Amino acid sequence: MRREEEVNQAIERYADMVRRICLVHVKNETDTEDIFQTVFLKYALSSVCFENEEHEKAWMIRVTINACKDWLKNFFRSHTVSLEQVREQTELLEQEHREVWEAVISLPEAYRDVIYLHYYEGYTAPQIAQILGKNVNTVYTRMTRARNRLKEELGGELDG
Amino acid sequence: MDERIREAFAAVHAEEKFKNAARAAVTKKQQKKMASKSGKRRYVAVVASCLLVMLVGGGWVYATPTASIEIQAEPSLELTVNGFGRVIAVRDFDTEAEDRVVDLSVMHCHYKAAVQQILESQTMRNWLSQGENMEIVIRGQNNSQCEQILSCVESCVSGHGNAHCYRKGWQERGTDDRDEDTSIPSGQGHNHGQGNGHHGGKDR
Repeated sequence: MRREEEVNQAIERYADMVRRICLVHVKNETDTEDIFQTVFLKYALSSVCFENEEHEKAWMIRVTINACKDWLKNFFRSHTVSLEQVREQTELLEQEHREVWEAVISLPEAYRDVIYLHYYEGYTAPQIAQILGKNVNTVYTRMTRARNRLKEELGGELDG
Repeated sequence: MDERIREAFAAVHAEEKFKNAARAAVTKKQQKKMASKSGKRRYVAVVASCLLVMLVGGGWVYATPTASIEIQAEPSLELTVNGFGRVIAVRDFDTEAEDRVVDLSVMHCHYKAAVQQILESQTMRNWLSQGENMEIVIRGQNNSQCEQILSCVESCVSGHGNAHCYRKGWQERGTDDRDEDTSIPSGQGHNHGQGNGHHGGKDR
C-alpha cells in the first residue's frame, strides 16, 4: 500500500483529470464521488511501480475509464439518470463551455474518451489505442466520426 | 473549434469535496489495513510466544531425569531416563569402558532398547559368560515408571541367571545398595562394589 503522502500528491495531480473523465461518462455527482474514491483507493492499494509520470498518468486514465464503465454497467444506474441530472453537472460552467460539454456528452459513449484524450490531453491515435487497449484504426475511425458530429453540433472547423 | 473544446475541458476542475472524499476513503482504508496488520502481528506474537513456551517447556520436561538404571558390572554404567522413557544421559564408572559406551550410542533411545543393546554388547556378554554377577538397580521418583522399568529390565535379563534387578529410592545414592533397608530386590542381590556413587563417574 502506498504512503498517504504519495496518495495525496496523486490526488492533487490527477483530480482534475479524473473529474473530466467522470464528466464525460458519469451522469451525477454522487457517482463521480464514488468513482473518485474507487480510483484513488486503487492507486493507494496498487503495487505498480511507475516508470515515469507519463506511465502513471496513462495508468490513471485507464483505471478511471474502467471505473466509469463498470459504474455504467450497473443496470439501475444506467437507466435511472434524468437529463436534468446531466445538465446539473455542467450548470456551473460558462454558457460557451456548457455548449461544448453538452455536445461531447451527447456523443456515443465510445467516442467521448477519444475526444477528451486527443483534444485535451494531446495524445495521438496510437497512444490512445494503447491506453484504451483498442486497435489504432478503430481509434482513427472514432476520432473522425466524433469530430464530424461535433462539427455538426458546434459548427466551425476542427484542426484535427 | 479545437481551442473551444480544449477550453471547455480546461474549465472543469475537481471540487474539493471529491478530493476530500477520496482522501477520507484512502485514510480509512489505510487505518483498517494498519489495524488488521497490527492484529495479525499480535496474533503471530502470541503464537510465537506459545511455541517458545512449549519448546522451552518441552525441552525442560525432556531434560528432567525421572529415573535411572544402574548396571553394575564391568564396566558399570548408569542410564538416566526421563519421563518419556528416553535415555538422556549415560555415565560410565570405568575409564576403560569409555570407548565401549560411546560405541553403544544409546542416547535418546528408549530405555528398553538401550538396556538390550548394552546387554548384547560384546563386553557385557563376555562378563556374563565368565559367570560374573550383574546387578541392575532402578531408581526413580515415579512409582509406576519404576515398576515399568523394573519389569521391562527383568524381561531383558531373564535369560541370564547371574543378572539381578533391584528397585531403590531416588535419594538413595552413594550408599551400598545391598545394605539399604528400602531396597526392593527383584532377584537375588549381590554386592559387586561398583555402580552409582562408588566410582568417580563420567557423564556423557
